[in-house]
Amino acid sequence: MSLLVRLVLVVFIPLAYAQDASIRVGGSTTALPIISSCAAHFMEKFGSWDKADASLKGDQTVVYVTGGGSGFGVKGLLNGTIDLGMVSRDLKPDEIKLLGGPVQHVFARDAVAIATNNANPLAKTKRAGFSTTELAAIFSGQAAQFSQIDKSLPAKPVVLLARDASGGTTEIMQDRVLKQQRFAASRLQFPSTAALIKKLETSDAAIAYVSAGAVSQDSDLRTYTVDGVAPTQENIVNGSYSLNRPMLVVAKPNPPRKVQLFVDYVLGDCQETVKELGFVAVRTGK
Amino acid sequence: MDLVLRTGSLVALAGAVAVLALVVGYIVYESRIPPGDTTLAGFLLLDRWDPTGHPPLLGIGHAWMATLLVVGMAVALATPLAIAIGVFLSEIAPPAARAVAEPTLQLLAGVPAVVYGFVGYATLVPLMERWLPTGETLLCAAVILALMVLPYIAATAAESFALVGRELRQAGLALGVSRWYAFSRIALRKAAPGVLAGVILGMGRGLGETLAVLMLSGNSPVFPDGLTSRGQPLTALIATDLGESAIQSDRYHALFSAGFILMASVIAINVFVMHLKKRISGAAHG
Repeated sequence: MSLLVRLVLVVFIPLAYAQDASIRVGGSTTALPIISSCAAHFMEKFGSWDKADASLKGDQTVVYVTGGGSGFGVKGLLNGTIDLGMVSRDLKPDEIKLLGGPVQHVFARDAVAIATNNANPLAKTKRAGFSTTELAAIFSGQAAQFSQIDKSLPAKPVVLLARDASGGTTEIMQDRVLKQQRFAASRLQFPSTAALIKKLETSDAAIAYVSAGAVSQDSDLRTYTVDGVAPTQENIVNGSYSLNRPMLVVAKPNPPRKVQLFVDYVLGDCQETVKELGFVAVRTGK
Repeated sequence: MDLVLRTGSLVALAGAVAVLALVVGYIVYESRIPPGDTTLAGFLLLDRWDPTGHPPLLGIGHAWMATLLVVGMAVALATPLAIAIGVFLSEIAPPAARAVAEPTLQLLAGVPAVVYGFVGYATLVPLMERWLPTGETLLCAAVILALMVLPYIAATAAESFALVGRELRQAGLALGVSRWYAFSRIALRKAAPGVLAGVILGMGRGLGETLAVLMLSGNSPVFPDGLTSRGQPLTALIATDLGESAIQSDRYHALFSAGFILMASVIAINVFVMHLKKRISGAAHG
């Protein structure tokens, strides 16, 4: 938990208790930028609750959003610190049991695409993609040369590009591809997805894993299938593309009307924001 | 009025010292050497840095090696040039040239690190990529860092050569030695401690530099195996990972410990420079 998030928690949660008119959201820091942006739009659109639903009192609309991690998204819901949890993974069976059959909605998907630029030696072969095992060999550094990936290619070193550990994409690669293996230490780490893509466009020897939403429209780059499945919008949403995880909003059974209104907004108008921030929207917004 | 000024400046001084003491105290307080289950040898030398792997590894050996290589190379590149500039400014340059060169050096010292980093990224990285898999290397970081520490070393060198005094040199020349002899045996020898102080000051400056070396070294947590290897200096490691480290986690303490080592080195260097300066001025008066 970052210091800022802690401060926000300390400062805002007591305030939130004092005001019944507000709802409190907390959890995954990966989801935080999406939901806080949605909350800002929501509060701007509906200045008071009666504008969102005529049956509600006309108090000022307030949505507090804090981080804390996916675990807090469940725990905070259980002990009543928050009204709505953000969780960037599937709920575990015991969590579902503890929450007594919660209301959960996937509002976005966070997916990783394997990408190179069009001048990469791999892009020039007829290869459509990689298996998970091949990817583990590449990103753990075992296959450090192009010849070790494809025998017809020269023995030139492969350059791996990665986000630093703050990217949720790194977590997906560790959990789904590398598993018990370690990332190659020689990878180049970038502080932002934009910086990574810039490098990928210019470096012909580079292979990167990158947020799927960020590369889909880049004509200089190509993506690869993983275990035969392409990272298309459809495959990501239906879950057949393996390098992806759901991002959930979770509420206790029979959530209050205000919480329900906000969830509807996240699944509706807010899907545009999901796309803007480089995540995969699960519903086509208005 | 006098009293007000005196008390005011005393309070300001006390405040500045207190803030400095707090920073140093906090870093010492949060440092755990070695952190968590890590052994001392593992932390300082043997282990990789892989905080998200299974199990997590918290070794900073790669980082201080990269720091030493980058700073060592930078100072080695900058020092001869700085001595040449110092001699030129103090012995050869006409007043007009001096009037231009001295403020230029000061200006160079004031250019923000990100500008140096960006210029290096746009020029040196593509150039090196003609021969190397990636332009981001320790060598690349060192070349740009050499430019950054150059003004510090050159200014101190010029100052020390000026301090040698015309009489001593003219006395030498009057005895019939060549100009080169007068320079190498009289001026250089007399100015050497001052030049050394400048070199060490430059090292201290280089040790703390973060952004430019982060951009140009590749920020790869790999043990450097040569000058053209990628790497991740201590400052880059801290900047990259601190945001993702949960407060009071082992990773958090490991990063503070890395900061402690960096801080201790810089303080030691500054104490040494102060000591050296005292000796020089003592020699000048004695």
